[in-house]
Amino acid sequence: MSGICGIFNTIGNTRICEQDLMKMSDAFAHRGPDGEGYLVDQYYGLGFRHLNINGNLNNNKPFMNEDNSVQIVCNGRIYNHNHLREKLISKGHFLNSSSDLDVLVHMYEEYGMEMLNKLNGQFAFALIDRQEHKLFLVRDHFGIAPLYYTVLEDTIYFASEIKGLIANHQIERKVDLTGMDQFFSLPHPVSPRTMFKNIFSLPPGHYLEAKEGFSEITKKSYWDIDYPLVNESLTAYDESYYVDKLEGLLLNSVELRTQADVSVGAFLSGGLDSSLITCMMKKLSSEQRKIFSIYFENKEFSEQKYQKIVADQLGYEHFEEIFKIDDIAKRLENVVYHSEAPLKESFNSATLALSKMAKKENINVILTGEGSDELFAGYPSYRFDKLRNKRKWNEEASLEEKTLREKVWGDPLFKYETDFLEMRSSKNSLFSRFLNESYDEFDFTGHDFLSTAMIKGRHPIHQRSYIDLKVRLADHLISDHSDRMLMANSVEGRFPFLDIDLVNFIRYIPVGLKLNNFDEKYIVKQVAAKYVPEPIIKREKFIFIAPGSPFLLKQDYEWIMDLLSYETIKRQGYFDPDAVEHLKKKFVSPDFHLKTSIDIDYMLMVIMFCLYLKVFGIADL
Amino acid sequence: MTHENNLKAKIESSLFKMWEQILEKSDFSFNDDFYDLGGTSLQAFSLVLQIKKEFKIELQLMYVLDDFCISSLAELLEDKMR
Repeated sequence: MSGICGIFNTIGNTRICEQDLMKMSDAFAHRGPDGEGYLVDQYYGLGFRHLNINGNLNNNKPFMNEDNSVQIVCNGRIYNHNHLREKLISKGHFLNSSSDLDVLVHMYEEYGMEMLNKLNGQFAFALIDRQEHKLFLVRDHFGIAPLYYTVLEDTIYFASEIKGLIANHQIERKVDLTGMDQFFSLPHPVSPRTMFKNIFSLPPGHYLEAKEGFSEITKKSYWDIDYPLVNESLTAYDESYYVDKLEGLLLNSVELRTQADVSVGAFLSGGLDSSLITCMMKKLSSEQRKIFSIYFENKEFSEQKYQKIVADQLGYEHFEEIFKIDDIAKRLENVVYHSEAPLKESFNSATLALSKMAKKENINVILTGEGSDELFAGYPSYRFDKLRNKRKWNEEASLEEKTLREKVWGDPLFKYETDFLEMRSSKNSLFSRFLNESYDEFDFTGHDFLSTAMIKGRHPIHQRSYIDLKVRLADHLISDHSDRMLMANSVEGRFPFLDIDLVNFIRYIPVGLKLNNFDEKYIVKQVAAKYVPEPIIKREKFIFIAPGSPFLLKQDYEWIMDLLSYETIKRQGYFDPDAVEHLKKKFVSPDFHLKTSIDIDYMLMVIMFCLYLKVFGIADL
Repeated sequence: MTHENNLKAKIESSLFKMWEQILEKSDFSFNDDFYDLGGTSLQAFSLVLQIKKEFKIELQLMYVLDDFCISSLAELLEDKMR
């Protein structure tokens, strides 16, 4: 199963029928074009779409236990299912099929929700306990598999994509203003917040519980990345211990993620992480695989040289395509439709093009290197922190700024990307007067979205890693940038760096092996030395600067001019039309250049936001 | 002036112009530290991008995240050009 949906009455009395479930699942049919199945009972209904990866084409029903008292629909994979299966059989369970997902119902019977601590996988599932009349919605540790829900008249609706929920016309399409403020301030709105009012994303590592006849819906965390405290005494080992163990765990993770009844391919960017993953695939199996790359016509950005170095060593069939700047613009609307949110960069269009290439070659599963930058201090910000701390720059912030940092990040000396006060001023000059009048009510800093208890008292590298995993990776890089861009073409993404056993080990790797002096991902490079060509290891991490709004505006695309027309902006009510006019004028000026990696591209954010309003038919304010 | 000294002088002169543009000031010498002059980490990052554009050298960020001046950076770039 690759997409799920369902309806569950708590104290509501919504009449549930198969047609309603079909309507929901039709909205994300791209996730599973190979089959579908539905099940309706008095107080609930379940549906799913199937993408053929592990056979099971005949399976058109949710998974059930021996007496049908537990039913599950699940989007995802359980990688340690063989181990779990053996244990369950030894305890007397009878498993109907060889599917990895079949173990879930029996795991629940055996362990209840404690089962979640025994799973290694990427999954989002809905479980019905028919004896207790309960619904559980569960999402994996890192948020790889998506799961959204809303509550309408005491009935819970849930689906793998928001499109599945808003297919029901009773569910309103309104902007969540705090979600909008998060979009303008962070890489993406953070779960449970989405861009849609009253539509929530189940946060990674959480489950939701509801019971028929009771209005209460509870949400619980079953796992979080708990980095050690700075003053915690840990057993120290030699560097070689950590290098060997990391290599073993990563190899195991790649091995688990290449198991499928269909061909498994990979995206190759030419960077360290995807190169290491593909080289490990080669080491583990002699199977001939297909790998996919795109490169940019602008030589300054092109990674083609590095992609070729790795591809030549691998000897895999390498599919590559040139990506012209026009290719971005023509995909933007489709990118926003599948992302279900506006975006701050345009590079999702490249992933969308890659998944199309893969599908054309009959590849249903793709491995990528996501997660490594967050877990091994890969981004430049980790090095900037070191510099800032050495020069004590963070101490120079105003009292008001430090108070906000303490509230949001749990540390007055931690700066994430931009100062809160500077961001607020930029947003206030862009937002409409109507929004500014009520800004304090939806200001994202006034609504908790992270557990500061997991940040306080940690090393700065671990503080940033925790925040990156939550606000950049979970809701952006592995969701809109990966899952959604891959599933748009019915391709499943798998991420070997996001293996629970591996991450539990990474937590205790000394920070000096993650960022060694100013050398990022030091320990990954030590492992990679055995697998990856030297030029890839020695190169500076490539910082891709996708063309921003100056390019789009200078092309004079009619649809963008329509989106940004003074009348449209004024009617919609989100932005100050004069401020947008001013930005437009500035950005089309021939002398204006945006260093995208440094300057914040507010113009692109406005374009994307307006595109999101248009694509989803969102009402004016 | 030897060929090598000539190359280093050219690099220093180009770097001086970059620093002027990035730091928006001119009153500094080849031996002044970038950060003592008020440079920020993001400006150092911008410098790396400009170096890539002008000299076609992918300089690792680590070289500009500790104390550095025009003279030391020119030596490093000269080394890489060889």
